[in-house]
Amino acid sequence: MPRCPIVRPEVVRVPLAEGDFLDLKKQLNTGEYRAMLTAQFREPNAGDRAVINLEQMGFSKVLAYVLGWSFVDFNNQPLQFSAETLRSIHPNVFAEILAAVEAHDESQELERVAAKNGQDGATVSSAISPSAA
Amino acid sequence: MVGSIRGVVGQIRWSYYIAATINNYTVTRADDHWTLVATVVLSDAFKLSQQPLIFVAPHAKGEWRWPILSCALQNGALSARLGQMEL
Repeated sequence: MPRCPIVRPEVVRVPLAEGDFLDLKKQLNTGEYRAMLTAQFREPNAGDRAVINLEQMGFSKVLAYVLGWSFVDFNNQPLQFSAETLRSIHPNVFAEILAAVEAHDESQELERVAAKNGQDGATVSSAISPSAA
Repeated sequence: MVGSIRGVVGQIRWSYYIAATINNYTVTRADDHWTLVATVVLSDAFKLSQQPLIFVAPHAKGEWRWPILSCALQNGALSARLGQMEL
């Protein structure tokens, strides 16, 4: 039976401290995943090897996954999620967000591995005939 | 009963993705259904072909949302049949 490779855009709500939450993409598609990886590197000069962009480490993962959050601004109004807003929040809160996103990313990776193993049907090894000595 | 809503900016979304950005829309209500006529300024053909699609029209206090039952896009002109407004 042919497979459907399209990533269904689903949202999962992940709790944070003090009753706050994040809304995350359940799974990244290929374009989002590759864009996230690409954002973590930069080319210092044409022809040189790409180097890790420390400013983007973690940041690109949060931007790739997060769709929204429960945070509010100084006037108690909903705080729109954006790259600019993300740069303006307290480092401790960013660390909390990053930890939640990384935990979600790891659980998705485990699900992908489990699905692949189940799909391949390679979990049971075949019997080996004893060789004639 | 017939009524209509006119607006400038709207979107067609497939879940959290923007399938199309639209301009100058008119939503008309006729008894048991709604229809949408609009101009598409940006669109993603793949996302527009997915289901379910939602038409989102922002207003001062939030946004109106309708499920799209069927739609057709020709030369930037979009026409769609909408379900009941989501409350």
